[in-house]
Amino acid sequence: MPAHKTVAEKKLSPFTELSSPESINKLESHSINARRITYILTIVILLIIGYLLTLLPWKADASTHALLEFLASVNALIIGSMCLIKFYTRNKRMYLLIGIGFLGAAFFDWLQALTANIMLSSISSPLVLLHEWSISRGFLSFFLLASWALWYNRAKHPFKIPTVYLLCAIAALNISAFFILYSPDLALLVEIIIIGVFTATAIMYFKKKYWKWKYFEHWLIMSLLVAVAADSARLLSTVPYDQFFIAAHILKIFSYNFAMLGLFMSMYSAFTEVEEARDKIDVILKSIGEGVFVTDIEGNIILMNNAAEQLTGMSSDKAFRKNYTKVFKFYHEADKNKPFVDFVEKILKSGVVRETYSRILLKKDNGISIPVSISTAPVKTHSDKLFGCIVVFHDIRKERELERTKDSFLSVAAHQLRAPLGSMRWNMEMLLSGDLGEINDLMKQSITQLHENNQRMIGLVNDLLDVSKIDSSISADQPKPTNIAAIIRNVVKEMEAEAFTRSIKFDIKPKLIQVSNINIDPNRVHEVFENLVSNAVKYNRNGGTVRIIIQEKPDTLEVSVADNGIGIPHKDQEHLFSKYYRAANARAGAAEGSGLGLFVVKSYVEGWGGTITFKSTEDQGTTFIVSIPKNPKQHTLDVSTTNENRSKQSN
Amino acid sequence: MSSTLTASPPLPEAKPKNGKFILIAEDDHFYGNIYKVKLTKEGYDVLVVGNGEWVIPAAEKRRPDLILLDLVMPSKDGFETLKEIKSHKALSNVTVVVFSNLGQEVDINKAKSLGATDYFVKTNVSLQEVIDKIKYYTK
Repeated sequence: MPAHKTVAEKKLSPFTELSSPESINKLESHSINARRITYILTIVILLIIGYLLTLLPWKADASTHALLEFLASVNALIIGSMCLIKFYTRNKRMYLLIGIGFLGAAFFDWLQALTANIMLSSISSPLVLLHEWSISRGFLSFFLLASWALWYNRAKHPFKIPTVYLLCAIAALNISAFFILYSPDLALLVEIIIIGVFTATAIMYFKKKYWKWKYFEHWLIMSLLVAVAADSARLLSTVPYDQFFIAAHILKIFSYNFAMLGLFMSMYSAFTEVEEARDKIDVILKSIGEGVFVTDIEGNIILMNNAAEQLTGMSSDKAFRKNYTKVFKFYHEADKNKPFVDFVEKILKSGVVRETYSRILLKKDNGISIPVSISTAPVKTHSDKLFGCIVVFHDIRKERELERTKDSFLSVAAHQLRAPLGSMRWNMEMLLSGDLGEINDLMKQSITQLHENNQRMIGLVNDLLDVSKIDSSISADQPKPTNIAAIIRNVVKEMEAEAFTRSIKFDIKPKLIQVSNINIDPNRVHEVFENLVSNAVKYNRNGGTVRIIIQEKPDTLEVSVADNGIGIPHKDQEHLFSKYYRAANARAGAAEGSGLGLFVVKSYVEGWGGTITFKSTEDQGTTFIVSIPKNPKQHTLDVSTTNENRSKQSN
Repeated sequence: MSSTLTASPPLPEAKPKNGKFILIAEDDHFYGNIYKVKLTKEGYDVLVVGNGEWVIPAAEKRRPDLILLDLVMPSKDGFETLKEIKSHKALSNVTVVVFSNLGQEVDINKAKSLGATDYFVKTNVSLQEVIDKIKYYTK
């Protein structure tokens, strides 16, 4: 037995009434009892009326008949229209059929009103009059029965709307034709069938479990009961316009009115439901701990919750319809003067599903800035049309605190771990170099192994520090006008000592370079070239050269760093830029490196919108070429993703 | 378990003294000992102080050719000491190289901005590299 709510309504929504199973059962039995009483009462009243009618002989005339039919027609017209409206707005197909039924009844009643006067004169038998009456009733009864079928079978809707209209139109025409054209001799039989149909429909609608004043189905049942009474009265009419004839017409109007009342009730409940739903949404939004606001496609705020009000200090009434940048003052953490705007526009333009930003500050009304994390997403209607953007942000002061604690812990931990490892290393190196006396080969072997393992541990500690540093994105992008050539020269200067020990020379071309400043983070530039130059030194041969060529092009600055050292084996070249990868020959060499260097370099360079490529031949040397756009993109480094792109190679 | 060498057996041939004086601030006695042994062997005059407070007095007593500075030390840390050295009338132009196991960007930048000529993470350099750098800076 299908539930009394449609499939669509079964989804949990603010319209859902949540009640426990026990209370539902109690409600059920209570409501069924209540219903029974109402219907029985109705039937009893109708019977009483029927009895009273027999006691009141009364005769009216054709104009009364016309008036009553006219009233009925107007009522039916209103009901039919309301049903169609309900169908269009709520998409419940039963209302389409009920609406058609009543509209048809309205039409036929209206016809009767028009021809009432003419009728009497051309009547050959009372059955003709009955036939006229039965057209409207038959049409209505058929469509009400059909509506029940759709009510019952709500789950399956195999036909599309245009097909449904077509079917309804065909049905309406056929039914009308049938009732208009059938022989008046069968009128009595048809009337009895009509009564049966009304009764059956009423009983079948009884299947609705809950009974509340607002449910249309119950008013429909009432309407059907009265309709049965109306048709019964009509059958009892022996003389045109006697009390039964008139009573039938009046009861017909009453049966229409019950249906109308039912529609008004459901309209009323629809309005209150909307209010309740709105309240429910309000309550839900209020209780969300994070700040939430929704903008329309122009970025004006249409909704804001309590937490957002508190976090910004502005009330939602004041904020309504204002552009979000006027209400929420977000700033980049790295540059407190740089407002963080355009993130809503970005979502609205690109329709990107989600975007998250951290390292943002929110300035409250009272001037205090708090660090927040922002999540944005587009809001689309069912038909996938974009109607705005929803932004969720929350206060991450606690997370920051945790981060700071973690950072200081790491710093201390690393230091503490490094101290013993370092002095062990030097002690072993002293032993190996014979500073503490001659050692035999076996001793040398043993100490070498100790030294290697020690190196591994040192490497691990370094890796740990590097990874945690990068993952927490401590290094925020702080671009400023920077002379890249000057930075490269500094890097070379820093490397001089190390290069000197292995007689490696530097050759920078051109000697005096004036490059234009580029708006870029100098620390990151430094890190990039420190990595490249230090690699060029580390993996160079003794007495080799590191050649750096800086070229200014129209849109980019191109720097090549070349060495003539051990080179990169072909099979390792693919993985060169991936996190943690060090080529085999590099690992074998004395130099250490965690492998993260080139990964970071590539991330930075590509983050600027530039490119990094390399050429290498084993035992001959390697050349790295970095191309930096003069208008670099500013992105926060997101090195924690496992996006390992294959390195690009020239040649 | 102390591994401080007090009366050591005769070491293999030490290089002739080159008259250069290196002042080292290092609180870890394992490191301190290594510095003393190795650098003496290389011909340098070495003094290891275990605390930032003793650096200036020692430097005033005899002007060092190079100061190797650790950062994390009791009572007065390396940054404080560095500041003092660089604002000292007589000692401000002595080369100071920081040898520390702190390695975060902020530490390096801070040391350099306070006037350190160079910065090395002890665990990441070999002893030979240390000697080479010292040679370079005491040229």
